[in-house]
Amino acid sequence: MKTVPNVHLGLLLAAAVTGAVALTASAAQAADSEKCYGVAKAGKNDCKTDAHSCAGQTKTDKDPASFVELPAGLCEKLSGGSTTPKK
Amino acid sequence: MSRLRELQSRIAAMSLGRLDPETLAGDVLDDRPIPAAQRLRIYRNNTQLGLVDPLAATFPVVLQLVGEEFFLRMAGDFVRAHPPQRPELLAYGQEFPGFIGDYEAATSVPYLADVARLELAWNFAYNAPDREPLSPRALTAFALEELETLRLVPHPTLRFVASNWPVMAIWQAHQSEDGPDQAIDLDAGGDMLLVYRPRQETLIRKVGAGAFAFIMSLSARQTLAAAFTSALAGESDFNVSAELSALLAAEIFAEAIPS
Amino acid sequence: MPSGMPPFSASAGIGLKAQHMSAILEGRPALGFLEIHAENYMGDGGAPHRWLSALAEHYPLSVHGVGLSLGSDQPLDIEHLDKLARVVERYRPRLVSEHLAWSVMDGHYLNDLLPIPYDEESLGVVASHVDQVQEHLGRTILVENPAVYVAFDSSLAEPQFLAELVGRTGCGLLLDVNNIYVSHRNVGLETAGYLDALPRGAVGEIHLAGHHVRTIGNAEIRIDDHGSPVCAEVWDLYRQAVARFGAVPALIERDSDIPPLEELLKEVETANRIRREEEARHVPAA
Repeated sequence: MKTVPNVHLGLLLAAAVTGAVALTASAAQAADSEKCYGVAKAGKNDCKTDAHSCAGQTKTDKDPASFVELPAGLCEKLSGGSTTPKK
Repeated sequence: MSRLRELQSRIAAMSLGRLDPETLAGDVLDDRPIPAAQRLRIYRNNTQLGLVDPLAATFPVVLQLVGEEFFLRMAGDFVRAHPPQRPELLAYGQEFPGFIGDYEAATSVPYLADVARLELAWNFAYNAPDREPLSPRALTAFALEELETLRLVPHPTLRFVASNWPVMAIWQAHQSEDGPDQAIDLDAGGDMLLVYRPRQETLIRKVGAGAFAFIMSLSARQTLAAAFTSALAGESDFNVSAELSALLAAEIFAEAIPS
Repeated sequence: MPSGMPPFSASAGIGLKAQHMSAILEGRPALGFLEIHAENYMGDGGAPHRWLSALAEHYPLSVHGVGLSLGSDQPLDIEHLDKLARVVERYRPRLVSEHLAWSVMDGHYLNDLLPIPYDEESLGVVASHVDQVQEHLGRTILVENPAVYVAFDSSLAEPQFLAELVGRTGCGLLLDVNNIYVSHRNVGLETAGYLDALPRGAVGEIHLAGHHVRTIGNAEIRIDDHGSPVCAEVWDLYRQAVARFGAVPALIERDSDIPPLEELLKEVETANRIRREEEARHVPAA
């Protein structure tokens, strides 16, 4: 096992700091030059009272007879695995 | 109980699907030709869809993965079981990943709950308080011994997501309406992810077991020395210089507290 | 009023939607104001606040609450009221409004605007809540008339209820003329005399929106989905409202099927034209 108990941890940490300072020197400038507000996502509270035009329908009512099956080809681009994950 | 309150209790129960609209028909004026119960169903429908909508906004990848019809059914079941307790929907759906994990109809999509966990973490970071990240330069002031006992506090927007599935690739592939443009191998192995927002953009960073344990330990306010020990337990050849350097540059910390 | 605050022009405004933020900031269309839903800005930080702060430099704001549940017969949610106060403090909007409706009961939030019977009991509940909100915020709020699908056995007509509320609390009114029309068609709300029954100085804002006509059996029901252009009958009601209440700020609301910004700007222009025509026809209110 490759542990490093005898190496001075402080030295390794100092090296990390030096490395990070060097890494961020160029990146910071790029971030500043870009006027950016981030992704604007739709809000979640609205005062509309129906967006779905299915008022009066029982679209959300539980009805076992019309149980929705998952589409068979859930996503053709997702392959392998089936039901057990690989560790 | 007042008359108004009793009426509102009944309408609330009806809106959440716990009371048949027919039993409230006598509470409202029955204007034919549309019967009162039918009109009340509009409110029930609006309430439930009005709560499914925010879930669709928080979990857009889950929605894309299962399709609208299935999502509506699953989210509708969730809404009825876990209606929000408060009027802010920005954080609604905390129990949704767990609910998905237990949702029998979704067992054929075993990674769905973890994708939902990732989306919840992303949503949290998106709305979390803004905080200037720690500049690596601030650490140059510390002596070697001080660095060892330093407590580096992760950015307050940070959330951890660990999955046995390649959820980051699945998430990334669904960032456009068109769905994935390349194949994703579900056998590719799991992900350990740091989700945070140091500035404007919400970021997802994939890390190894060592770095994951390292940040978790720092999150629990451990010193760098203690976090290093945790990292080695997770990954025996954890390269603390390179890993910490990358994490600092990625602006994953907010504060450095000397012991 | 702090200096440097954008002027509140007579032009109509629009409800602010995420998909329009960038276009508004870049094109700076002539809009009287932007209205936000308070709850969407109750998060602590992030993009929503950055965008809104940037927009607030150029446009006056109106904060429209949708979750306070003024009509619930139970105490107001103080945490929510605090959060509303924080949004108001942060953005110092020209207008703050809420709904004559309820959405919270028995520990659940229903995310809908549910109707109340118009009687003395409801009036007492709503009036005490409006008092509490105004005291907490340190300013008056506008209360909006609802669109309804059912009516209750009520001792007061809707405009009388609103007028009484104004009298008891000193609040203003947000007159949604689409809601008047929707309720008129759905439950026979009397439109004749509606505007005249409201105190002249109380109306501080007018909402304009489209609705969806749905057929159930052989009958129509109008769903207030804010998903289409304002219809002719509602424009006509707007004209009458301007004639009675003068040039109060008007808002084009679109909350579903959000079109490109240009389409909303056309409706803003229609509202402005009607306002100008009415102003020319009537002696301006003294």
